[in-house]
Amino acid sequence: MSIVTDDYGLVKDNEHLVVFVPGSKKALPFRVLARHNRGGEILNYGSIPITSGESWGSYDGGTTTAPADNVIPNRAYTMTNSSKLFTPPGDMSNTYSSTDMFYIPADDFRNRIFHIYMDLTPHFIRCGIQIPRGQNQLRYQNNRVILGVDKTSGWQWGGLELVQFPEINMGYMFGNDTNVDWYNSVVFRYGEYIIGIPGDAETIFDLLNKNRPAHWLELPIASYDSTIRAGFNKTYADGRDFDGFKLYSKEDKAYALNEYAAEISKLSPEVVISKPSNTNVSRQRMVR
Amino acid sequence: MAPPRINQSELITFRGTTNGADVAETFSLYSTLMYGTDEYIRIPKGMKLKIHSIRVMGSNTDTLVSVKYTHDITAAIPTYVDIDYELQDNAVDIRISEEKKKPIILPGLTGDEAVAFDWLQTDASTAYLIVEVELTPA
Repeated sequence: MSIVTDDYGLVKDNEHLVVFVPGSKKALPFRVLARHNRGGEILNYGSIPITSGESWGSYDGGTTTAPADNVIPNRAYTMTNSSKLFTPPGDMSNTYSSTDMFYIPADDFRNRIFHIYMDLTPHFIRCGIQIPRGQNQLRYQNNRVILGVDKTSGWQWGGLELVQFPEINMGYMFGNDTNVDWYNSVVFRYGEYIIGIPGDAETIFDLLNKNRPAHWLELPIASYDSTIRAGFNKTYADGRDFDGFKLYSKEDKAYALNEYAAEISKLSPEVVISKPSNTNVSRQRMVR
Repeated sequence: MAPPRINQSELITFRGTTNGADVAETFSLYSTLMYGTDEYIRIPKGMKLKIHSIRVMGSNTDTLVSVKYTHDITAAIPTYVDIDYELQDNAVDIRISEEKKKPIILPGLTGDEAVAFDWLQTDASTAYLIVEVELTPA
């Protein structure tokens, strides 16, 4: 177990989470100020929302249909244009979106993210993600081959680890290459983190160079969709052009610190964690 | 590699019953996770199916259960090979095999492999099969 995560795999309070986006080659470092759902990290969702008769792609060609509500059809996968969203459970219906229980708007929630582990039984079902919804992200040889649950690669068995950012819808993909129709169950382990982005360039450099411990998560974003960039701009920089911090080697530290300082200046005051001012430090020293 | 915190193995108990009319047939399998029944289980590509135990019980006659494995379930007539046998002697109430032994491992090499279970009885009689399997990344 990492020193920054707990038994749930969630980041402890006052520790850091770094989300790396391969498509932009930038990282977003967050400090977890608090976990809003402390003590309620498990959400037994139930079945993937499946309606009897709905169409799935078939590994044997063409399409097939779900044989019953909540049953994954055999030899079938969710098609690119019909990825799944998790509608809120009936007793949690007052969410921002009636179709996506994890969606949050930037205006109210720019200082929050969801860190999610989706665990799907049976665990041999293929799981994939579209970020944003409709956009298959895993690729082979740059963009020559678009991967996904319908392909030999581009998915994981049994679940996913994700971060849900404000303003971005994610689509969930599933594939069942067995000959059996399966009942299924989804359990989410999640943290609704109240977060801030460090406002100190040195701290960011140390995090991105792994001089400070942090939980790293590389999101499967190979194709940097404009909606992702727009979502980051709106959420973290009040519309200014900020979508993360580039990675630099230790030899380029001076250059990196200058660039990070410029990026930090774009951040919304609602998300940036400012360094205590010198005045305050002096005052504290005087009090002592 | 997948994050270590995502469980990728599944234990499933399959059940089957002889039909009481035929002395030799293939079990129709069902489990609490399955919708409906199937006569074989296709092994996901890149996974292996481990048979941890086979139990045969409830027959008034000897029941031989054979584990059949095919490399190509998509063939018009799949070619099966027998991997293992389990005999319930009707002189005893229940026969449990493979417990505390190494499991039978059947690989899913291409995604076309499948496993099925046949029975063979001296006289047709009702017998019950319980198979504990685990599907896990190879």
